[in-house]
Amino acid sequence: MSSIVIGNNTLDRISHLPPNIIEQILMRLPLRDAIRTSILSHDWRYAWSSIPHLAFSWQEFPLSICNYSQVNFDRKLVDIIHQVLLLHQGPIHRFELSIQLRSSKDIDGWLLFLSRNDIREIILHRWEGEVYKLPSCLLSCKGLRSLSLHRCMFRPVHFQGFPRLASLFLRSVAISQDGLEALITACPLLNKLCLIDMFDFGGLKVCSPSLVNLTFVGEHIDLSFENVPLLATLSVSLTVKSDKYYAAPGVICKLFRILYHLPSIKKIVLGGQAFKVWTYGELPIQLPCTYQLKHFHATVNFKDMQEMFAIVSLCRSCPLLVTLELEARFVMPANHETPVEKFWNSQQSFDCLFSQLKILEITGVSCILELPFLKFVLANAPVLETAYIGFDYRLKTELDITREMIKFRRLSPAAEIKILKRKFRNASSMWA
Amino acid sequence: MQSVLLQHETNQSKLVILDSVGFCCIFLSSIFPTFLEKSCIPMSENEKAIIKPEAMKPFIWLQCADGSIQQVEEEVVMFCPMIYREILQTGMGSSQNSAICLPDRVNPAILSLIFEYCRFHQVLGRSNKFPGPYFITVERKSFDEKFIRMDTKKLCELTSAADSLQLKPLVDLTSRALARMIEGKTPEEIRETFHLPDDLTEEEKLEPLKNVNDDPRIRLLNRLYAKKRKELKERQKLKDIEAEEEKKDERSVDEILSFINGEEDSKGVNAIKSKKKNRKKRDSHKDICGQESIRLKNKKEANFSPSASQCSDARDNDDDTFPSNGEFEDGDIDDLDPAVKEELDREVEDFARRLNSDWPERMQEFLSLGQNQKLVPNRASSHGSLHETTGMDRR
Repeated sequence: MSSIVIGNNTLDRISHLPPNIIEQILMRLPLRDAIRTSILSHDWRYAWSSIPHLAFSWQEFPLSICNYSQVNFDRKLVDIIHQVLLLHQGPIHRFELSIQLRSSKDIDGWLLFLSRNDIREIILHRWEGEVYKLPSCLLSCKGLRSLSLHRCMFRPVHFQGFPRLASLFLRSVAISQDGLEALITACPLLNKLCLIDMFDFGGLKVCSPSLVNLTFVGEHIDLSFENVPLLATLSVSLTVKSDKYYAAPGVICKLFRILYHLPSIKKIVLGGQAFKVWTYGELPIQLPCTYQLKHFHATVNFKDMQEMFAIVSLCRSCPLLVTLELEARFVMPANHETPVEKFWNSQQSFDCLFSQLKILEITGVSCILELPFLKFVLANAPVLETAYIGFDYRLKTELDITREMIKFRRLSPAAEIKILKRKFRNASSMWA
Repeated sequence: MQSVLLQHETNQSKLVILDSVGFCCIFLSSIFPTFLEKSCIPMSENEKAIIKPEAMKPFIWLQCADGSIQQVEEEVVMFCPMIYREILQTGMGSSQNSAICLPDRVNPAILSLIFEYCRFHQVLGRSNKFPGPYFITVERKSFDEKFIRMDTKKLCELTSAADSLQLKPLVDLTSRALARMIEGKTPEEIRETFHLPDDLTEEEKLEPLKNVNDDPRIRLLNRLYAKKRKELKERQKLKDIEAEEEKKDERSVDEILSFINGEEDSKGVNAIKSKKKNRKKRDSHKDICGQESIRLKNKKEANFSPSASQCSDARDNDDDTFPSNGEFEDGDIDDLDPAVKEELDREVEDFARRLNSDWPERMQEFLSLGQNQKLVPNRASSHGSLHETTGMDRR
């Protein structure tokens, strides 16, 4: 040990670590603690000023606003951000502003500063105040790789796209349909797209040769795909305001039409009423082609024969399906007797049906009518490993249903039925 | 037992032909007799071992900066990419003479720690003891948590060594541990934990970026406090020179007050002083959340001056929350020594009298008496920015 002397003060080890290590340590601290290190000692005075990630959020910057009015809090926060940006040296790769800032007049200046400092990731979430109109300097951030906006207004005019943008997250962003479509198409490396609660759209046509992951949550609009050769994961959750939807006669339902345009699709997650809406219409009797789908999650209504038939058709056309997760949507029991049992008994078992299925999960089971599907799968899945069953929290007793379940015949010798722990609310596991 | 010995000898003779691998094996056999036993029992296995030397556990020789040489199992060393690359590129490390030199920052104690880490993770990665990746993660995490429990000095050395060996997972783990030690602590605590020298002056601590918790008012306050200190020092000097005259001044002030108030005794005067103080404080409390006129700023400064010391302490202690306005008002004047307290009392009372709208005519009277003409301009001139309020520049 004596042969290695680090620095003048042999007790103080940490200040003499190499600068990249100190930077790593400071980056793992919340921003406020990292800046506080500037008064520790001489060596630490400006150590924080070169960390490339600046995040102003409640976790990183726990400012309390106990005695302040919003105006004063705003002012204090703006002061702090001004000072931090002014004292910072070096490139800023990541900037996050998701704190309660009501006034937005200073954000323009900050974005301009960032655009000159090699910014790569911007997270701008406006939780309060008016919707923020993004300045044009944002479009000049050529190195931007990830953009996340919440409650902003984005009007890209004559925009060539971000050449390096890989991930785009927009939530409640005011942007025109054409603008968004143009943006999606213009970004050559766009990998992940997430649109939540967008409004003012009639429909959206997604055309992106590089897109791999698409998430869409919001009101029902006409989503269509034109050129998405690499799309592997599609997550859609739709809420439908009116009960009437329109399906042209003789037209195959939306789900299969979309599947046709997604050659590389591997995983589909449909939440809300997306499955119901997309299976409205004609179902293909003769299936045109098979798909590479491996994982399918959907919220379905087990008492609706149309949806059940759609499930069977889907499973027939996806022979490689490995995981099937269905969440039962709670629907008030209908007055008339739904021919559920008859339907399932009449289903033929096809050769390729469920041939690769390994995991089945059915959650939200609330009555005995949801069981015939399970029976059908168990009887037809040769390599099934586990069937998870989750009961709806409204169910009084699980015993009757469980008693029925035990009787089911299983084709796969390794199949196990596992009862999931009852959650307090019927939380969907799809969005976890 | 004899048969084993015999086999041992035959092994030795057979292995003498091979050079480095043999050396390893002999070394091995002395340390791990069970290893040899296992391979000894069927003779054919031994022959296989000779033909395929990699079946035996080879060792790599490593040399630290201080000259000591250690050897470690190859598979453990392979976990570390830098050494691995060096072995591939230079072919060294297979014998004691051609040991691989490690960078300066690695010493033997730390090296053994590093290899403990590598060994665990290497073994875990290959083991099929655990049913799935989830369990492996849990095992890794619990090992990491226990591993990282060491004093800060060792932790820093370990970080430095891991960085020089380019062991990214270990660097991540140690930096996270160091960050956890810094997070949420006050500067004093951090300095104590890491033995950092407190070598920044007060001024340096205040500038350029005051601790981001601070309000601009605290900065102003601290500046004012520094100014006040200077002024008080000057006044101390004046006091020494003109001690008696100042006493006279105080008495005359009291006289004036009692005269103005209609023959109240000194206790009453004090009561008035404190009443005025309270009223002034209440007024300024109302105004604090408001405008930024210079007049109010001055009022605040006056209000804050007695509690300046407390506020700077508060800042040093890095309070999370902005100290409530109540704290300022209840500034503990008793902390200061009586002379300073006297001075500040007079300051406060002076300001109160100036700013209070009841008093302007009386101030005129007071000044026209001519006895305190020396005082007032002194005060007026020493508080530069406060000039505007008084309008009493009798120069």
